[in-house]
Amino acid sequence: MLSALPSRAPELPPRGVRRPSLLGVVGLLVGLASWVVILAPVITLLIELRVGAILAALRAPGALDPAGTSLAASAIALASVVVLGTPLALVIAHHRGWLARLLEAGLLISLLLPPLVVGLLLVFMIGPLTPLGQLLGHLGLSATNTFLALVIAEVYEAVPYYVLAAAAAFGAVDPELELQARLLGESPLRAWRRVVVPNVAGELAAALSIAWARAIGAFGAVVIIAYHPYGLPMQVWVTLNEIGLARALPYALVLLVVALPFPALAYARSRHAAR
Amino acid sequence: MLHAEVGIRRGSLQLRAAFEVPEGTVLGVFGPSGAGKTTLLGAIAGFIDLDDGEIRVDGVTLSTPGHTVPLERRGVGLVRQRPALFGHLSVRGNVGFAPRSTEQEVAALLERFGLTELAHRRPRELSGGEAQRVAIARALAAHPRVLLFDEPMTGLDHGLVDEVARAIREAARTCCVVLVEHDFALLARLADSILVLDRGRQLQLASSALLQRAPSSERVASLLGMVGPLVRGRSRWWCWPEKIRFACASSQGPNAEGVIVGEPRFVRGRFEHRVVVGEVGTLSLAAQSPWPPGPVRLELEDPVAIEEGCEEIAGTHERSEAAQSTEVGA
Repeated sequence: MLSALPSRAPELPPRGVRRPSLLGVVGLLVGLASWVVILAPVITLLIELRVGAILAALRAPGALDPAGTSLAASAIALASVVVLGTPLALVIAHHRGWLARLLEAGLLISLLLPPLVVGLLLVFMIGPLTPLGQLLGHLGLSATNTFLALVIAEVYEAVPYYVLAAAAAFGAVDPELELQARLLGESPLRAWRRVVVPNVAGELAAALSIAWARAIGAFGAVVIIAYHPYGLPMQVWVTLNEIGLARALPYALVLLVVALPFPALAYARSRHAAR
Repeated sequence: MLHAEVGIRRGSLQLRAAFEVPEGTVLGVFGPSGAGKTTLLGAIAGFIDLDDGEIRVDGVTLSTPGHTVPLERRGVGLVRQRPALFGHLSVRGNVGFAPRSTEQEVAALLERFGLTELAHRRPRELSGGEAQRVAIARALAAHPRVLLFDEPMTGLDHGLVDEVARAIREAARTCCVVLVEHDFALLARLADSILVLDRGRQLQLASSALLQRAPSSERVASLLGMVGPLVRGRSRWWCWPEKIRFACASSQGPNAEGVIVGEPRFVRGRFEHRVVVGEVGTLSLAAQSPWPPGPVRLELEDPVAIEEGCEEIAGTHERSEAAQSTEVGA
């Protein structure tokens, strides 16, 4: 009974099209749920905010000054983090001895310190009555309640995150690549620039994003040593205390909007590097 | 011309070797793990300092104890088992990486190594053989006077091995090549002369043909993969396994004493014999004519023949031919 046999083989899905498994669907749903839970505060912010409240808050005289202060201080802090942190990250990445491990342990300890404690220690370190503070005073500078103090507080809050992430990135680069670049005729510095930097660009961008987020959102150390001039986190805190929650929330949105472009660019760069 | 007298002490390894490699030739370096092969390449490349000796290329000193010319100014290229291509660059970008390379040279190298069609691909899109060809072309673009290969064919399929082997011979047209390779048959095919190292000692340096015909010691013969010794009178003989053929003693007569048939076994559709060779034990060989089946039946402990006779076996007790080779630090 040949006619009883199917005349055509069952159609297979086109190549590259896979039917989702039950486990895959469950995993996707769990992932989406996790995303909602993690972003719940941001979602709450967007739900709670009213356009009128945002406009009223931002139209107040000098309302946007903290945004400028935060951007400027964080940009300088980030540059300082890169200048201070990159050589240290390279040392940690390329040395296997006890010294590198000691340096790494020190950074982990500073990471564990609550930012508020960092601020207190900065007072003891560079406050006006300390030798360093007096030295700054002779130079016409002060590291208490000044723009400089804000930058210093942001640097101390951000730098361990950058160094540890950058060290991990540098350590993951195959040393053979740098060796080959030198055998092909490049000096150590140019070999590093032409081979190592492109290979860690994505990871460095991620490290810088983390450092930027820590710097622009710095509050614990800032509230102790740099109450003035107000950056955005301080503006949120002061507005909350003096006026109320409803007027403070628009500044949180401003903080988000001001802080976002750099990590977004870095994310795009790291995705490009990963391709 | 590469002239090397290398003395290096690193941990338990004490490496001593001396050799010259004329331009356009390939020196093979052979030896077991821990012989110092990679250390030797490191010294020539310049990332391992000499404790003793001197490395010169075309009369220019590159390394002496206490002074090592930096890697970027040595004119030495290195291709390893892992090609270490720059993943952020295309094939063309990799080949043209060296500051000294010009666009015309890069195009010519891409053509010479059959890479023109692949020029815009990224390294991760290449096969193992293609990646090694890119690595060789990249090294040549820097105009090296010496090109070092550290087991560049390990882990490649048979077809790719031939592809890379051709590329190595091609590279040797314009510079001195030093090739470390653990497969002696492949090394003998590619190298003009071969240096045998063992635990840092240079056991023998000879032309590829001479080394196969006359290893300077039983240790060298053993390292090369020869079997023995076959004892005849006061002489001890070694032979290449592929030269052993089964033949009936009564019809042809054995031409080497001490090679006898051991226990046969049937493996994957063919018979294998354990052939007892001299003092070293047994060797598995696929059964060949005339057994089985055939007019002649070999019995256990029958003597078997060496195909080409005693000339194919190195007389390791005499140093007449081997004396032409050099021995350093023995």
